[in-house]
Amino acid sequence: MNEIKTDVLIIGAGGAGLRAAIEAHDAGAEVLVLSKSILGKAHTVMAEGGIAVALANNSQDSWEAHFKDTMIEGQLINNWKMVKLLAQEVPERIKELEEWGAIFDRDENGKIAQRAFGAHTYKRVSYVGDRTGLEIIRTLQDQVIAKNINVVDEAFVTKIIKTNMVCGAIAVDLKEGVPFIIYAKAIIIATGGVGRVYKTTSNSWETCGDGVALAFDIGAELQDMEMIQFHPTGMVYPKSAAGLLVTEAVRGEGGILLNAKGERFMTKYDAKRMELSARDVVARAIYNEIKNGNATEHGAVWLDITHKGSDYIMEKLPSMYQQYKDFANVNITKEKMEVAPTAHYTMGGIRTNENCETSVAGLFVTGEAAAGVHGANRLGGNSLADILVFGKHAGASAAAYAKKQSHQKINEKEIENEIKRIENPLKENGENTAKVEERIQEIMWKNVGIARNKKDLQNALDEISKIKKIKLAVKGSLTYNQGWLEAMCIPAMITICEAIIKSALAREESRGAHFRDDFPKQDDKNWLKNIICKNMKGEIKIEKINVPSGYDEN
Amino acid sequence: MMKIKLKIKRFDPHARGSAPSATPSVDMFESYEIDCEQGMRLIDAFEFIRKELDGSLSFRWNCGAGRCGSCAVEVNGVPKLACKYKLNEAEKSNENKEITITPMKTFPIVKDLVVDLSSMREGLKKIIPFKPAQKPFYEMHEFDIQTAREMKKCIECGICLDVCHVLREHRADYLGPRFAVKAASLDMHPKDTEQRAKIMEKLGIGFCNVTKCCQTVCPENIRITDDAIIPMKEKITSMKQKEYFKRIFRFGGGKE
Repeated sequence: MNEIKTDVLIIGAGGAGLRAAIEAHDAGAEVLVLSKSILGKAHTVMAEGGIAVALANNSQDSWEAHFKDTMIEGQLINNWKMVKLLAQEVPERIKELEEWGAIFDRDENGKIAQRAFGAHTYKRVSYVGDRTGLEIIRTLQDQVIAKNINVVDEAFVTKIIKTNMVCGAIAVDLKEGVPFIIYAKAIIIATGGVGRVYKTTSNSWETCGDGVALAFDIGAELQDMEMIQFHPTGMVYPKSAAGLLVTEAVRGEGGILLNAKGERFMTKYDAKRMELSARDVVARAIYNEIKNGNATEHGAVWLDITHKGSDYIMEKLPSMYQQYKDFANVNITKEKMEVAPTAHYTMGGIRTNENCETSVAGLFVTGEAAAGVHGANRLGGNSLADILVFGKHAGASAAAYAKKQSHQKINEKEIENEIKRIENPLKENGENTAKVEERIQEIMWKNVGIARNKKDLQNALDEISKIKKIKLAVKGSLTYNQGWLEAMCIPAMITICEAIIKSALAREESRGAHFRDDFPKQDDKNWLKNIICKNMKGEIKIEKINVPSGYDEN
Repeated sequence: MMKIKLKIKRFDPHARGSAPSATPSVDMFESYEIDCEQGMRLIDAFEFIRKELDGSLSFRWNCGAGRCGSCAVEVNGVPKLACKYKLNEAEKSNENKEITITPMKTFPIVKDLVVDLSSMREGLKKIIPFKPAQKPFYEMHEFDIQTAREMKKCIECGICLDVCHVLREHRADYLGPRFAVKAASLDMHPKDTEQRAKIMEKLGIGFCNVTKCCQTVCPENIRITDDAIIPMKEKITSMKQKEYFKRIFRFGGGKE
């Protein structure tokens, strides 16, 4: 079997992973990036609206204001130390991106332009049309290529090996269809979120939480898993486009929401901020309108930007115009868009700190896979900020850690067992993986969605535990086999679902993205807490801990 | 509901992994008949086939929204993004309600419709990176960044390389349109100080005879020939002229 030795192994090649790779490389570490898809195709390309950064180019903005907005939006269960770093450092990261060749859109003075976004006090979001994520990942990718950093793409990690610290991982090269071993002194998880456990999601098939589950399996703690952000505006029709994101920039540029009766319903929910209210408020408002019978033919509401005129829309939202034209045959300069909430972002994830460390020695985490920065709800534009700022920290921390370590041996038996597990679905008789995955997504969407309660959550937990027992079967070989990937990801999805459901059951209040209709009020007296999932011999154990102290002094 | 037949090229290099005894090097077409739902795209058809009819079909996709450029295949010989190609388009244009799907021809096949795109990354290594004279924050104006931004829309799908007849038929020493786009995105950056004409000449941009095939199929509508290739060819010509006159008149002494 092929073996690769490296100082730092980075799993995931989105913005966070690539930024980490650059930093670790520059710190003198030997780096290997493994990516499930091709380099440059990661989900970061889907980030449309922009990146939140207090450049104060057209306003009185400051990092303090960005910090405060983020904490308030996270309903104060964020890790304030991480948020402080985020707000302070993101201007430097933007500067660095432009030094590497990125070009952000300009204002009339030739400075980086900043647009309004929901729940940001100032015009703070910098952008590249509505393809900000693409520009960022391409710029990072250029650096990775120029620095000749090792990348093996289309490789899927099935297991991280650890003794009392991480020693490496086992992966399958999808193009060759063969497993291989990586010996690494430090490992960074940068695999993104878990959106794919939901039926309607803006996330691609990749984002099923496999990296988060890999970490949990070796004892890393998870945090705030109940906090799933539902983006208020996803496409609904035709079915094939359902879930696709309609960027917040549409509302940022003046788009208004109307129910089927033509009422601008946001007046009822947040008369002050209207369409630019926080994402959880807007998502719940739309959910309510749909539930109360004010829905359009396809169970949605209208998003209308036609009043801005064709020229303006074509300049500011070209990709959105294209998306509706291509997928729905709708001309958004003349017609309204049909939208409904879609599972979008995972605020929770692997528990970490401002150095991106986890509870496992040698294991680091960055980006959407990590918890802490966004608390109970993420501000638009903060995820791109997050991947750059904490990508850098993760790279630095992992490289520094790797310097002090030597390579560890990996137990032969452990490799043998894992290879057996990898090949098992190809030999077994069992159920169709795609069908099982659909069942999981259906259960989560129905019971663990925007509005939750004890009965539904309990029901979901029972249903998921039934799925746990199902045997999976896949035809073919390990070579580029989507079914086999599903077979590997389903156990991970089950772990993630259980963590979400158990955390959601534990939090008996409503906060941010987590809404319980049996506990509709926010309870700051008892619930300024983070919910932690610990791995007790394979079972999830829930613990509640106080949020990091010291925020009040800041 | 309209039925449509997809004739898909299948290829399995040699079923590796757990089944060493499987048939080696199968290279053939297989047909699948499916119900064409409203708005159904080719990628939905692939997923339907994989989930309901034949789990062994391999294809590559990711975002499903035309933004990552992973899912390009040839539809009746013309490369398309499977996530953007609507099956009712095929219905309209086709009496038999049958379309043929093959992998992109200019790339080596991995399995079925999946091709090896690693040459795209390798090619990028040859293009001189961005090199600014000063540090940001830059002052730049919309007018100055328009062309660079157009080039930066590239989603690296490989379609321009697939359709390029220089690569498709002659396999000459030409790196291909994607790399002209990359070089242009850097050359057109208002703060860049490098010159990429020399390297582009070496990489065979002279082989391009401006038939604009790439520009016609680009899913991002980048004017590849007009805004990337032709300006680069002009730069190469003027560079050569300068060299020529320098040689004749020996201006300014021996430094070059």
